[in-house]
Amino acid sequence: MAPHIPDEDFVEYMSLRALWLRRVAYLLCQDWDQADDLAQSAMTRLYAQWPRARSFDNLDGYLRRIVVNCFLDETRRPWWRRVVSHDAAGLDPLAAREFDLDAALDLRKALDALPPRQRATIVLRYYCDLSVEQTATELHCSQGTVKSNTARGLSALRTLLDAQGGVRA
Amino acid sequence: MNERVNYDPTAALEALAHEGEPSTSRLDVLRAAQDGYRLRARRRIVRMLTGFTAAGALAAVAVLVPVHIEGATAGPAGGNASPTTITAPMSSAPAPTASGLFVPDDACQPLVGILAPKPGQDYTMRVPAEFGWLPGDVVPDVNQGPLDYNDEYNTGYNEDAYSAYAGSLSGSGPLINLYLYATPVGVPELFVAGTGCNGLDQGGGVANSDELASVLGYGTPYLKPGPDIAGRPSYWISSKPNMEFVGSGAVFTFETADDHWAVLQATGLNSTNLAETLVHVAATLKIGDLDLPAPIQIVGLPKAIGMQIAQTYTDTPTPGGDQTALDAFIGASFGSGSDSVRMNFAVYPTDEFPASIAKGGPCKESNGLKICAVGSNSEIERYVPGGLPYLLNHVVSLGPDPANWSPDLVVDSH
Repeated sequence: MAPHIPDEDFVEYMSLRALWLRRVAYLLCQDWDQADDLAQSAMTRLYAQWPRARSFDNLDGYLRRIVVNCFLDETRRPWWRRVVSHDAAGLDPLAAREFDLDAALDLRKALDALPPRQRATIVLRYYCDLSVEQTATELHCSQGTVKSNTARGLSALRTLLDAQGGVRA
Repeated sequence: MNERVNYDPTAALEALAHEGEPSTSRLDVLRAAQDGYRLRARRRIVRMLTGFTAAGALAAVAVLVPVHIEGATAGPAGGNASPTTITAPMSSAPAPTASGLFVPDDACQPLVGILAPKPGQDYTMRVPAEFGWLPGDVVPDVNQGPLDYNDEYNTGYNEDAYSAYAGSLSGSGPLINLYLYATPVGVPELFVAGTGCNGLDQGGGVANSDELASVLGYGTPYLKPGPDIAGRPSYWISSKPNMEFVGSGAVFTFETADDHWAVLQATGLNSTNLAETLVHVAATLKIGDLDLPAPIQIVGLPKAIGMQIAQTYTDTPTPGGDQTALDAFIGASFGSGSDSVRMNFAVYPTDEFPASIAKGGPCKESNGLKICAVGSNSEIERYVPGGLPYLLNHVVSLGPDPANWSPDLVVDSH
């Protein structure tokens, strides 16, 4: 079967946004390997919609919503469906892990301890810089739920980080 | 010594997202495009937009898990009747349903109103359902049209639900989704036959009801009979025994006059009048073999180039609303099977054309519309001498007023 020739504007857009997408996915799932899977799924879903999506005013927001939905969908699944071949790119999963390991692990553990929707709320509010209203829309819940999830999530993070020795922001 | 300095979640998340990032990535944009293209061709577009449709999800759930049916009420949250539990049978074989009927092996009944476009022939846009009344103050746009006719993967367009949307697909406001299923059986039998007729799947090989319920996050769906719609039965669907709508929002399903089943799924509507709104939308729905007018016509193309309409939709203002924007998307393919190529006509009012479309592609302005031919000109030229500019020259603008549009999309082919 002859391969489909990708739309150039899609390739151009994703070349600019792939890293950002991967980081959002990582903050949601707390695992770089799974983040690649989530981001790959989100890109695939975006391309399925590309004839329409390319004209959206807020394409970043649309892609962000896709990856959040992918994450929340996956948290409901009892299995993880791999969509990317691990040996496809000749990867070194431990490459470039030179960072402030202690601080990152503290926060990662704290984030990981949050329920998925609380975690998504925190990531959308404080990493993606969405308003309460925007976050409610993305998560299909009320603004009150966003506020309560934010408050509970932040409180839990502070408690967990205090217990782990704090984080230097 | 523990140190806690000005905990700032934004800075902390920013640092975490960057500091732990491996330098290599498995992301593959080209593969995403290939997979996405196949996904598009299989018309899983509807589920991708919303995660998946609650209707589809519930259809799959009810195949395998018990379905609760409560006493009849007019609205989703009322009624105190004790739930009745019935168990829907598996879909793999004919089996007695809740009503004692049997679901036939071949329960699929093609939807009327969708004609398969053929290469090199004239084409009239038809749809099996259209919205009638809509709350124009909250859903400003109506987006409708068969999503994709491409049968490259042998999924058969008649086997999928026809869908239309009221509300801005690109915005964040309220949305009312309509799905019309090619399934001539009743609730909850609808859900029994749903997987077989409509190609519904969860893509993960769900093995049992516990897993399925876990995947969907719905647990056991609850059905509550609603008011008759044009003399036919209807049901409210919820994951909560008190018929509270959560997650994807309200789901209302009803039998249509032509013996199919329609599902309305709403998100973001005012909960105080949600039931009345959806019931009125259902009661005014137009069902049948209906024209779908388009703002352009493709006129006088040689049959020999074999153009085949592949995908269409139109965006029009909701009657009674104050939205004026409109647009249309007409996709066409050339060649056959896996060697085919696609191009699109994007149509907007002249002063509203998005800058992101048709970079470098040929465009023209005519009769108040800007029309661009989007695609790979070199690929199209393999089939059409003159490529995209030639095709664009055969497009006639009918203007921005829907009153002047025509369902006859491809005419005078010779």
